[in-house]
Amino acid sequence: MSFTLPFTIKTKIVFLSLLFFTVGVFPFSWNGSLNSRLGEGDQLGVRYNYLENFLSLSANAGSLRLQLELAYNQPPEYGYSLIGLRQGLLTYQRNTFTVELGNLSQVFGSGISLNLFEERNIDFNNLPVGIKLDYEQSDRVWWTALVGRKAPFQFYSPSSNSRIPDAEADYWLGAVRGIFSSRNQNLQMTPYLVVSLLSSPIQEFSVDVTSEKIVIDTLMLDVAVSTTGLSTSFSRKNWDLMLDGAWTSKIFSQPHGEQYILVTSTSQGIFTKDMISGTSGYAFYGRFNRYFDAISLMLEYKNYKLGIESANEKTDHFHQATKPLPYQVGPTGLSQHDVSLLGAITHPVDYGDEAGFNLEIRWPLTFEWTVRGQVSVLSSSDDRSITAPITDRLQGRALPTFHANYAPFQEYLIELEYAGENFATREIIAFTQSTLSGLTNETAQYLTVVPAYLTFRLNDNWVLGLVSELQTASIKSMDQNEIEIGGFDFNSAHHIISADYGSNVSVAAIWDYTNDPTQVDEAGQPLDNWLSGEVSLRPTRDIQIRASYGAEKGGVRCTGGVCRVVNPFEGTRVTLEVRF
Amino acid sequence: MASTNHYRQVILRLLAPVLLFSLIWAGSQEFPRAAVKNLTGQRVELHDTIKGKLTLVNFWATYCVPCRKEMKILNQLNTQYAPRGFQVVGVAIDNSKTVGRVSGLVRSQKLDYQVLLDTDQNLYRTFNTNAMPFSVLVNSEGEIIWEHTGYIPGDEVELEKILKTYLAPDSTHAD
Repeated sequence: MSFTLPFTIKTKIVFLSLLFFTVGVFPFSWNGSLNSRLGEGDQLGVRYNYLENFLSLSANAGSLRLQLELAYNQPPEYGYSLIGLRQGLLTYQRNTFTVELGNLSQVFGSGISLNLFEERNIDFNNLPVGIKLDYEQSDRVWWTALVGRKAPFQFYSPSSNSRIPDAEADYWLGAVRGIFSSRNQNLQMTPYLVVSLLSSPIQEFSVDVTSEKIVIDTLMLDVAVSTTGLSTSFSRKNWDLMLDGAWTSKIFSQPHGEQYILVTSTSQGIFTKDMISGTSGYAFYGRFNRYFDAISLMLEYKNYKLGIESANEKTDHFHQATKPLPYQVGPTGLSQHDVSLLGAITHPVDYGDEAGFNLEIRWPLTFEWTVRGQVSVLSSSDDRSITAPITDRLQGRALPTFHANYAPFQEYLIELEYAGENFATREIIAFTQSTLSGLTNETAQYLTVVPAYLTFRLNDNWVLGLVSELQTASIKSMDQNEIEIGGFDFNSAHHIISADYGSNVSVAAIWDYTNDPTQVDEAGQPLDNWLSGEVSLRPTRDIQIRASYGAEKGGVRCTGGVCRVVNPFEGTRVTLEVRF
Repeated sequence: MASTNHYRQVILRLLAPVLLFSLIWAGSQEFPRAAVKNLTGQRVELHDTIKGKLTLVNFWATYCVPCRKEMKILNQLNTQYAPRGFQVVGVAIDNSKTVGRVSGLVRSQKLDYQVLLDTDQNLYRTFNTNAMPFSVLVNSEGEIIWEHTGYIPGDEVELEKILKTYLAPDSTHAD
C-alpha cells in the first residue's frame, strides 16, 4: 500500500526534524508509545473492520517539551480516517511563564463554561488548536489566556451509531481567567470570560414554486457567544465548598426559528414559528464536602440552563445555535460507574436543561471495610410535553421533580467494599428510574445487584477474579395523565471470570445475557447471549498484547459526561501497546 | 509518483541521521516539568517536590478500582520507607466531573502521603499512556528509573525489591 504525504505533513516533518536536530545539541530525554488496534467482525450483520495506529512521542529539553501524536487510522473504529499528525503540543515553561502551542486542553472552574478534553473511545474531541499562556504573577495570583480554533468539531447524538457524525461545526474560541487566592490560601476566586464564534449547519425548508415539493437547504449559521462567570472555592480543615456560576449570551447571524411541514389533502406548506435572533442561558454548579474524621459526605447541586429547547429542537442536531456549546461540559452529578450494567443506564446529561443534586457518603468502617451510599435526583427544568413555542428560554424549575413530563432520573445505590491482603470484594445494590419524556412518557426502572466483584490472590503468582452483575428491569409507557398504556419486563446479567499470572498473562471470559425484547438482530430475531474471551500477554514490561474473540453486547457507553450508543460487535479484536 | 518517492527520500535522509543523532545524545529520562494543584487548589511545581528523595509518582483516579486497592499498599510502603528517604506522591487525574470525590476518598483511605490534582491531565499525557494506575519511580536527581502499569495483588513485591536497591541501608533493622 502506498500513500502520498500531503504538503503540510512534509513541511511539519521537516520542521520537526530540524527541531529535534537543534535540541539534540542540548541534553534532552524522550519517551513514546505505539498503540495499535485491529478489529475484524460484524455489527448487526454488516461487516465492520477497523485498523488504528497511534504513535505518541514526547521530548523534553530543559524548558522545552514537544508532544506529538501521529495516526494511521484506515479505517478507524469511530470518526474519519486519518493518516498523519493527529495532535501536537509544544510547551515552553520558564519560571513563572508557560506557553503552549498546539492542541490545547483546559478547564475553568467546574467545566460548565470551558472544558476542553478528549474521549477517544467515543470520538469526542473539542480541543482547539491555538496558543495558551499561563502566568504566575505571585503565589496568590495566576493568569491564563488562550485563543484557538476547532475545525471541524464532529458531534454525534447519543443514538448515532456509525462512523459518520450527525453534523460538523467549527468554532473560534478565546478565554481568559484570573485565579486570586487569599493569604492563607483558604479562599480562591476565579473570574473568567469565554468568547466564541461558532459556525454550524442548519436546515431550512422551503416549497419549490414550480414542483410544489418541499426543498431542504443546508445553510451555515454563525453564532457569537460570550460567557462570563465566577468560580469560588473555600477550604477549611473539615469542609470545603465550591461554587461556579456563568452567564451565556448568544447572537445569531440571522434570525432562525423552528419549521414544521403542514400537509393537507390539497397542498403542503411550511410553518415557521419562534423566530429568534439570539438567546441567553446560565449554569450553576455547587459542591460541598464535609469530613467527619474518615467519613466523608459530598453534596452536589447543579442547575444547567444553557439551552432550553422545545421537543422539536431537541431532536434536531442541525440546530446547534440553541444548544450548549461543545466546550460547555460540566459535572454530571453522577458517579462514573465501573459496573457494566449500571454504566449502560447512566443518564446522558442535558447541559441545556437540567437541575438536580447528588449526595454521596463514604464511610470506612474498619481498615478493610468501607460503605458507600449515593442518592442522585435529576430532571429537566422545563415541561417537555409542551409543544407550544418557548417564549422564555430561562423559565423552569430550580429543583428537580419526579413528574414524568420533566424526564426525571433517580438513582439510589449502596456499596459494601472489603479489601483484605489476599481477598477483596464489593457488593452493590442500586435502584435506578429514568423517564424519557415526550408525547408518550416511557419510564424505566432497574434493580441492579452485584453479589460478587471479587479478586482472590491464590499465591505469589496467581490471582483469580469473578464479577457477577444481575439486573431486573421494568419498562412502562404512560400517557400524559400518567396512565399506563403498555410495557414489558426483562432481566439482564453480566459475568466475568478471570485469572492473572503475575503481570505477564491474563485470561478472561465474559458472558452477557438479556431477555430484553428490544434487542434484536438485523433479521428481527431476538439477541439474548453474548460470549467472548480475552487473553492479555505482557512479554516485557513495555509490551502488552490483548486479543479478544466473540460477541460483545454493546449499548450506551458514557464516559466523562459524553454518551454514545455502541453497536453489538462480533469478531476479533487485537490491541498492541508498546512503550519506549 | 516520482515526486512522492522524492519526498520520501528527502524525509528518510533527513530523519535517519537526526534520529540516530538524537538517540546518541538522548540522556536518561528526566521527570517532566508541569504544574499541578494540591487539594486546596494551590499551584504546585511537582518537579521541585520530588527533588532530593526517591519518589514514586502514582497516577490514579477515583473511578479506577485497581487504583483504590493499590493505595493501601502504597501508604504502607510510604510509612515503612520514609525514614530512608522514600516518598509516595499520588496524582489524581480525575477531570472536573469527578475531581470532587478525590478529597473524600483520600481521607477515607487515611493516606499519609501527598495527593495532588492533574485535572487537565497535562502531566499525565507527557507519559503517552492511557493506563491506570500508572507509576514512575524517580531518583533524587529527578530521573525516572522505573515505571509500572496497572495493579494486581503481589505487584508490590517487585517495587519493594527495587526500593531496597536504591534506598540507603536501614541502620536500625535488617531487611
